[in-house]
Amino acid sequence: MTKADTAPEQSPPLRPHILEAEGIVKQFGSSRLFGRSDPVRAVDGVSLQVRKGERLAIVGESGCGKSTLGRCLLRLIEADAGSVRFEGVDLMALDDKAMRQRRKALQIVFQDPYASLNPRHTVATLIGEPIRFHGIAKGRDVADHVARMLGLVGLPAAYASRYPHEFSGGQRQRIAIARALASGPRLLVGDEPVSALDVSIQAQIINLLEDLGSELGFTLVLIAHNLAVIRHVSERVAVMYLGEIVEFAPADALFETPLHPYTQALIASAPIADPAARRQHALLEGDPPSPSRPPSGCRFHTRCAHARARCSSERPVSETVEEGRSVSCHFWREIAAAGASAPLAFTPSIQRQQRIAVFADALRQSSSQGGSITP
Amino acid sequence: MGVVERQVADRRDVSATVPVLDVSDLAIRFAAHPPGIHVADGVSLSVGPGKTLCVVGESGCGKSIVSLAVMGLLPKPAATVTAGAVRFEGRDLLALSEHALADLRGDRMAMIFQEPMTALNPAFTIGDQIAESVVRHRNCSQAQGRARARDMLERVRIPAAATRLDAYPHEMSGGMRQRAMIAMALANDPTLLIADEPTTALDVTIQAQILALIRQLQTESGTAVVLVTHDLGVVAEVADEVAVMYAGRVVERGPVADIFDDPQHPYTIGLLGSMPGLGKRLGRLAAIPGSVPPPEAFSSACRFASRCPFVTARCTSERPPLRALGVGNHRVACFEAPVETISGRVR
Repeated sequence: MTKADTAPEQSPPLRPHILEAEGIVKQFGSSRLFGRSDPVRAVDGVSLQVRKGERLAIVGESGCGKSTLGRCLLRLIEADAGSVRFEGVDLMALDDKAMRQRRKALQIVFQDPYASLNPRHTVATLIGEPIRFHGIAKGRDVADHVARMLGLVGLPAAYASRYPHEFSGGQRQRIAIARALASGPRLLVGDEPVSALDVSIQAQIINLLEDLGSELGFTLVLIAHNLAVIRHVSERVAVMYLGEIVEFAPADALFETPLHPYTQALIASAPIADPAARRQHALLEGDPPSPSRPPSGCRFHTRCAHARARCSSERPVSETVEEGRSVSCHFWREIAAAGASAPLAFTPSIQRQQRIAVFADALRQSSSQGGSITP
Repeated sequence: MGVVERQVADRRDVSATVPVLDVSDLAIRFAAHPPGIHVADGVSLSVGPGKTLCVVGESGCGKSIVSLAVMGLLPKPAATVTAGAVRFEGRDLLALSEHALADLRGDRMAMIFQEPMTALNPAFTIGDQIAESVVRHRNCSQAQGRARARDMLERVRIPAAATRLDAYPHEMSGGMRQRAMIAMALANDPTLLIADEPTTALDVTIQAQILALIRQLQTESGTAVVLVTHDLGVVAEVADEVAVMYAGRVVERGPVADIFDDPQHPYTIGLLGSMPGLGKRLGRLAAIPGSVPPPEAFSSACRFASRCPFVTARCTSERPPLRALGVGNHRVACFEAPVETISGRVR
């Protein structure tokens, strides 16, 4: 067992909030040039509390507003309404200068490391910039700090003089993480940080983020669409659909007894890497509606197998199911009582688990013998 | 039964014993690479009628280039087949003229891609594009082609198919476009469908719809499917047979249950260990260190040796053959497999 295995159990409920978002609304568009006037309500009244030191995930399909919400939380874009408090300070009330200083504590890693690193800068400049800007180190100490950051993400210090194009996608994402962590943030937002990467590299970056989280103690908000990644990494999960959070729960509870019909459909749609678990999917029909013309009442009612008249007329409010768990569905109690969702318990074959264990052991041995492979 | 259906039905009686597609020892090289470097190196695959073969691997493993070679769509003159054979219903595709290949493509064998917008022509309606392929290969009238197009849109469950015939690709959602592309590919009832990452760009609920659709259409028509993907979850959902590729070579091959329950190649094991599951957390991921070498650095011995924790001197000097394991069709290209016996051996 490594240090990463001890951390992800349920967070003690009394940890203080590091970030509190209240009633966030963000609209885009309403371009009159082409005669269109419906704005896209990307985020529509979202409230969310993040606890200090936890790993919280925001999950949803394209267009659900998860990335927009993430940017609003860090004030990378201005919300149209609502408030964000970070460590008790209202971020919306800060002027530009104060906000820039605050960014030392609030960082983000994006999906595409090809787009997020300036190709004209060396790694030393890319990682050194936040170090200088936030006054973490000065003069010759900057280079030392850059070398330390590279070491932290598993790259040789000699890479500092290279340019982004000289690296693979996984190495670039390591550089992006080193840059984000260089100012010593207390909150890190990962916006699909592993979705552009190949499976084996994805696993490296997930392990790296977990190790760094335990080592440096930052809070992680992970925005992702991959349910398996979220299950593996996070302690609590917010499920978004068309700009709203429809369910919020501890990760184990969400995956074992999903309450919202959308969460149930999402989990049932996710492929399982075991042919023995192959099943007839309870398929969700149709496409998600356009966020510029969301359905009336419950936004999910056009695709929901349990929808009734009330769902198309009345917008459900978020109900507390138990401490730390909420759902926005008029009929969640009936649906749960009817046992509509019984997700498949799936365990890989013993032989597969053994081989993976042998593989992992051999990796540990070969790296402890100094035969480590540069990522 | 219309003219088109009858013609299609007449073509179905292919002997079930002959594989629809049989690729053997295929080697492909790019002119830009140093001599002796092959991006596909001794690749052998086969798929029978009504079966699904999944070719799985990460970026740069050669899975897409092999599927393009099968379709005769390799970029020329940049890429050339330097060895091996591609047999489709017993015929050697590599020996066919461009004209003969064009007769097969879109008729007996068809392909769908990850991004429907690059495969559909934005300037023509969906109906026109499907009808064009039917008219081209069935030699029927425009009206018959259009009727077939409408039938196909209904078969892929596009709502209001009759009106959707006149829709342009940009007027449809990603999932609907993928359905339209499948309708176009299957319009002439091909015996082979190659699907290159057909659901990678789609959301998970739409992916489940499209996979279910492909599976159902395949049951109805008996089409053999080669599905190229990086996603082991998709493989587990649809495959009968699996070929795992790494750096241009097939490193493990076998029935889907063998690959997932009895993975033999260290790369397959590492890939499975890299994937988090939907169940309770099983501990830290067993990530494979390093990354896939670029083609310039491809070794003539085992290409996974640089990342393999079980590597021996033999692995870096000699190419492991794709050898059979016990009974059945399970094969692995590794000297050391099965890995659990290694620790007892002197290394």
